[in-house]
Amino acid sequence: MKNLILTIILLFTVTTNAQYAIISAIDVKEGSDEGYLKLEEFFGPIHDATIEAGVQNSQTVFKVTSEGQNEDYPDYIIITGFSSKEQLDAYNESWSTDAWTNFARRVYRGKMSGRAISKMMNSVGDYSNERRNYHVELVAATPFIGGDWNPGDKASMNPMIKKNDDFENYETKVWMPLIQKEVLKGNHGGWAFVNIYEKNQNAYENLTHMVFNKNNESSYSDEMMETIGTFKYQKLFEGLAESRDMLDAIELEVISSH
Amino acid sequence: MKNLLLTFLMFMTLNTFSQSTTWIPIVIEDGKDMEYLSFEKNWMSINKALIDAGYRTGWSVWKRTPKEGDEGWAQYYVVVGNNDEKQLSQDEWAPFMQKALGKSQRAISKMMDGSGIVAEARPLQISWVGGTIYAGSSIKPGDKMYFHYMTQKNENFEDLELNVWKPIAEEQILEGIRKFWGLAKVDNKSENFPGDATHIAFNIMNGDTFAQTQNTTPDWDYKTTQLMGLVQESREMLDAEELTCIYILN
Repeated sequence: MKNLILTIILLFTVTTNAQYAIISAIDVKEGSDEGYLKLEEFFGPIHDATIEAGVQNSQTVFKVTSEGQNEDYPDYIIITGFSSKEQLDAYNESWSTDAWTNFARRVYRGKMSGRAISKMMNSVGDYSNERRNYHVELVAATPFIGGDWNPGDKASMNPMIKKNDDFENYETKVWMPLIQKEVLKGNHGGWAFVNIYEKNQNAYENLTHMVFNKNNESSYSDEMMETIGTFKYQKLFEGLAESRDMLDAIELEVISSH
Repeated sequence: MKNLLLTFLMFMTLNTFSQSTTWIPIVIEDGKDMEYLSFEKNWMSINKALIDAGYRTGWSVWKRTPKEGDEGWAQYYVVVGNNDEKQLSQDEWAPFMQKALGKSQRAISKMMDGSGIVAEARPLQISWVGGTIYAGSSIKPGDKMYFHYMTQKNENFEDLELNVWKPIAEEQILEGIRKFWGLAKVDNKSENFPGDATHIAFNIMNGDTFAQTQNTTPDWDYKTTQLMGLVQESREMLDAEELTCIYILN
């Protein structure tokens, strides 16, 4: 279950130039949701300013909505997108400087007192028990449809553990062409597959990859269902299933997107 | 087909309700660009109220990039998504606007008055024949869109566009070059609309790739090349016109 906490994935797609991302799984303290969301709201204009300045490309906050959620699930997932590993590393470094406080002062000049700004900036981390960070690189993705992420949009992600060398090929050469056809028909919102290349100490150790799906209300086509029912695809899916452990899907809903 | 339309029309129109789209080429009086943009900003407030109340599904204003030597073209294009199942009657219009905007009838009339700014509007009613999904980020002010006026020459035209050209456009989406292609049919034209266009094709690219796709010789196989020859024969197509998004609500 811990793996579920580590949750995931990206939005490489909405910003098509995002090839790297930091996926943060946030475990909020009991009864702290309101304070946490207010903090995210405070950061909204700051994210806009840092995106304009090239510190990051995008930042989206998802609420975990999986039914049957237990205490091991994270409460929120944040995905921060970057064009390059260098940009991601520079972003990480920026948090150890005054850069973000300076952005906050600039954004809230004339709107909030310096003291109030400092209070908000110092409250980062106050509402969460734990934050698990995964640094991921895009392996492959379909187009994503429907424009920018908006509050209320639905998504899901599956953490995965690679079991053999065929795994990435099964995902990109067997599954991706099928789901890509459905995306082009408007039957699926989009699919992305990422490789975890770095994680912080409290992250789930064995997790190697994640997939991310943008959901819509359409059903897969009859053609897709017929294809995956053929003997050939049943055998290919057996190979795919053997190539990795896939953890339960984590259902997500967009809270904010920048 | 519904899915295809629902994606692009996020900015043209859209949603689950029944809809039609109005395409309005606007000719402005000489040197009145600034006044026209202020005028449309007023209309943005009006359209926001109409969209919020479900009477419209989208609204956008686009500026055409002028070409050397061309004359008579509209400088701006307004795209209105209508909810055909919920429309304001003439009698309902004034009280709705007064309530929605919190302004007097006189103030609203002034907001809507384009005299001395708009020389001519040439509206078309269009309906969607088909198109690709809309991929990538939403349209924002400053984004480009390209359109071609087309005139159908034979009965295979729409089928050729949907079965031969559309898969090529979809391949460009997968390559990351394109965001959207769609074909609309002209259902009604105002009397002052020049030309004999029966259809309009719309292209939205990913970044500055339109010129690239126009200037590159396609690497099609024999069958595709032959079929594209039939596409060309099935309609007259005017050169692409480039538009830049100025305002958009959806």
